[in-house]
Amino acid sequence: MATMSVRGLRKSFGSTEILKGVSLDVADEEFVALVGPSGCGKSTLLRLIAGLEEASSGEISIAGRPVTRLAPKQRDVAMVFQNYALYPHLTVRANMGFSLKLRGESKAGIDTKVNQAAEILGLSPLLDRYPGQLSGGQRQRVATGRAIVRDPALFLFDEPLSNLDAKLRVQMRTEIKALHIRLRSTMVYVTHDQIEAMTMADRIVVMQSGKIEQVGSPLDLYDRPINAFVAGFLGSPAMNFLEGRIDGGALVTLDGTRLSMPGHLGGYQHGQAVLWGIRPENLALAAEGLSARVEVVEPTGPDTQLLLRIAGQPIIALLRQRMKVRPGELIHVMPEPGMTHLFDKESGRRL
Amino acid sequence: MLSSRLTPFLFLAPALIGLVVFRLAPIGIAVAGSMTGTSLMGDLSFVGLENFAYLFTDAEFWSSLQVTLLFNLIINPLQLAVAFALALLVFQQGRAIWFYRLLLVLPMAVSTGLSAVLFGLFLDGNLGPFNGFLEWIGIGAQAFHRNQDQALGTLIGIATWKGAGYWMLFLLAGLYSIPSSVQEAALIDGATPWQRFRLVTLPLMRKPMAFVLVADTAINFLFFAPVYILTSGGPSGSTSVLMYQAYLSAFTFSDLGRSLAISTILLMIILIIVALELRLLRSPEDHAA
Amino acid sequence: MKLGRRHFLAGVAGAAIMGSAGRLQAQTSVSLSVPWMGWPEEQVRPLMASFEASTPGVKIAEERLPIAELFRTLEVRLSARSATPDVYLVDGPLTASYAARGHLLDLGNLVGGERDRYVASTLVQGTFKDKLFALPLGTSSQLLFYNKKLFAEAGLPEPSADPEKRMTWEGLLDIAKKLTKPETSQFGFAFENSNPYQLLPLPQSRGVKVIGDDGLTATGYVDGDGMVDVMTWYKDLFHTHKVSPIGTFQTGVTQEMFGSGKLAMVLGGTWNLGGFAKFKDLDFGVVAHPFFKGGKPVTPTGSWHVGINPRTAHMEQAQAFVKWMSTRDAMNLWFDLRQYPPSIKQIWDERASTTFVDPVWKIVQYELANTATPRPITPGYREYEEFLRTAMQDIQTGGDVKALLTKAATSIDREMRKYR
Repeated sequence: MATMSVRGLRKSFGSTEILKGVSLDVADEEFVALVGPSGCGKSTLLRLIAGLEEASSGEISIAGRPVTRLAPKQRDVAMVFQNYALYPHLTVRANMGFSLKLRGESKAGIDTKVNQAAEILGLSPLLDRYPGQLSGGQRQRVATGRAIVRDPALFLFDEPLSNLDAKLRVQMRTEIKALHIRLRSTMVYVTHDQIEAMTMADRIVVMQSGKIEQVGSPLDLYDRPINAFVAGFLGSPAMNFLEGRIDGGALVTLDGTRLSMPGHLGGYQHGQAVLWGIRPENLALAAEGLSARVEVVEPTGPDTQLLLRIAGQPIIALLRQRMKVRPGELIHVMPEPGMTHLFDKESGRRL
Repeated sequence: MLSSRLTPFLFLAPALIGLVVFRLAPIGIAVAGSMTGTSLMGDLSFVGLENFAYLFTDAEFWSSLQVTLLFNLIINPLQLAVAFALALLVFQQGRAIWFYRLLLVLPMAVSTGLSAVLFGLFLDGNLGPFNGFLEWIGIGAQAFHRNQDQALGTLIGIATWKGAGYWMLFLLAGLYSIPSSVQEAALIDGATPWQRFRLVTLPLMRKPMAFVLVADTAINFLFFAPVYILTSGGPSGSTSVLMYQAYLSAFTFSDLGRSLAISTILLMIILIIVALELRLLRSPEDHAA
Repeated sequence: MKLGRRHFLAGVAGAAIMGSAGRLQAQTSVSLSVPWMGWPEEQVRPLMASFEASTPGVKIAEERLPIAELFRTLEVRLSARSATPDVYLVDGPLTASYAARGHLLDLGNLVGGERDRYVASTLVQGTFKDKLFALPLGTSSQLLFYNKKLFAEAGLPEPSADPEKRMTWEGLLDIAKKLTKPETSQFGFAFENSNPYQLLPLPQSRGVKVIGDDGLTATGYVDGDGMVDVMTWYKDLFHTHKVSPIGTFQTGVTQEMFGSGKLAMVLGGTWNLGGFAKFKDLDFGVVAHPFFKGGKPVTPTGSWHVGINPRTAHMEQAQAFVKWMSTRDAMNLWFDLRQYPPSIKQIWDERASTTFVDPVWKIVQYELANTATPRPITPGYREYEEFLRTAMQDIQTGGDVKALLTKAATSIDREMRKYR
């Protein structure tokens, strides 16, 4: 296992710049998730690390060894593809042993490693089947197994669970996480699903428009997002934003409602346009506070999700209790102290 | 009210009727006709296997059979290989790649007969420009379709010129249907370009290749127009394929029974060879499934 | 709606009545199906239109087909033994083939006592077993065309146009050698093509019989010593003396070569007179067909005929059409449209002082009267020609003469069995 680092990486296709200077360090045995909306460059970054695309500029090194100009086979990486990319004409056994065979390993050596990996992944009974005879989850495991037998310096995952149904996705998520712990390997994992990133990764890299927005542990990012984009991207349901202007210690929303935010807004520039952010689960019912009109009530069993309208803007609140409210009712909610976020409207920067 | 049991057959009926009328009936007529003889005055009679017995004792038939088999033994693998090579060449991104593709597919638009006529003019020993070129570069004029040893090769060349681009299309579509991620997986697994071709591309092209080989075989066993137009089976019988013999029997010798007997034999040969080809190109994953 | 049997029968009856009504109407205006050569429309339609004008109620639906297509189409339709075609164009030597299989009506009653009107040699090929089956529309002859400029360059005197003083093949070969210049790809002499029509006068000039008296035996004739000698002489033109260009199987090629000055002499049909007209710089002369020293002059002949399908549903109209074709007016119009040497003496006479004053036509007239020899009369002419042509082409490209002729003879005999 090994470290991986990327320095000032740029990639353009024609006149379109996909990666605009990305730097990142991944520690040995670390599980790093790259997240971001589609088109943010996360898959391109992964493909550059794999060597499937050539960097326009910048450096990549794996285990301290510069690999920027090396072919994929010389980088000692393994990759699991979104559509698994299994060889349809080969059995599960041959799929998993393919790289070892190319490397010229002995048949006995290959068999040992393949059997071992199959054991870990529960593929032993399927070794002589062809990919066409497997279910989606089984194919995913074979793709993972093909990567494991290589014992590479670095594992790369390109949205490996996005073709599975929701239930299977949750199960495989746990399996891959367990695998990471068991193999103590370095993994870079691309996903557009922030829950996957949150639950699996040691660190999350949030990307947007070819740039890294923020890097940090899942809870760091969740609690202290560096800007409104990161704040909005992580978390489900997503963070609420109330748009307005600072006026003394209060927030004047677009429709002119004046919300006083005790203790939170002191010291900011008067008149600054801001986004006031609050996560749905950080809102609580209160006798007085922000008055909110209930528009939709969604009980999920343990929780109740409310779509509220506060100062003319939609706000979601997730309450850890069962509620007897009806649409149209007026209620009052209060943000938990210290759990609100303020962002500059112009730049999105955290204030 | 229609019985629901009948419904599926009614839906299938147009296809089934088409199959019978356009495929099975002609074959049936050919096979039945191969066992008839026609008198000069047009009286049809059943002669059993006489036409076949005659053919099997006819030196001309055996030599024609030999020519047909030799022709197909060379042209089918050759066209497949050339079409595959062309498909690989134009299977890439790049500016103006469509232009090369168009160039390769263009001969398809020329009818077989016309392409034979064009090549006849092009290769003509007296007026054709190609021999002038060969003399100029020092190889010297060649007789091509007028030479017993070169005629079959010349016809193979013409047929390949016309056919390769067409078959290339199928193989190109096949190449496009291989997911790029599978190639990338091989790349990451450490395969060299040659290993990727041999271990990934080639096995995954089995189906399109089998289709091309089978369809091409069926067409090439019925190869006729260039023989008829350029060589009339000559020189000295070197291009006298069975189809040409079938043509002569029907339209020059007024012996329809013999012509149909030759057609029937051709049909049998095609069936056997296509069965062999399909067996040869069967994918292991299909076998298992 | 439930379709009862009564309804069904009523429907059938109705259809039958309508059908016969259609037939009644058709009888008032008969349309004859007539497969024809694919000559330009302006050389075909006027002839048909003229007949239609002379015979109200009969229309000619001619189909103009390329030569190979015409033969194939006729073979298919005639073999089906149906009522169509009503009248069709017959290539002279195929008369016997069609007649032997019952595809031609005996025209004896139609032409009857008018045989004297015809140039005698033209009737021969329309005749099988002493009966006239196909009416000659014209005939053909071959001439030796030479390039005056190339003769002058080689310092050679131009040959005499007098058929009595025609060249021998031996003499022609000497001249051809002097006119051959490999360095400029110029050849001395070529036959227009390599069909038996062109080449059979070679053995015939030496008195060699090209088929047995029964018209069905090739072995001993096609591969006889005389034939082998002559065809060896033919092969030598290409491979020993190298005065003739190999691969000249078709008229188009030799016409192009002669027209562009790559060929000093070509032996070809009268149709070349028109063919060479398109070469502006070409100055050519025409003399009679050569013969072998010690042999006799022989020229090929034969042309298109017209015949009636004996199964025609419109016998009366078909006969009227063919009868009309034999008239002076039809033949005269036909000559205006396409200049085949006429088969009717009257046309020759009428035009003697106009069209036929051209010395070329004098030669043609002489040949038709004195040297014209039709192709063998045999029901198996298609088979005979097919194998002989193949052998002649293979001889030209350098094959073994004796072996090729033997193979051709064997093959011909094999295919002739059905006519015995």
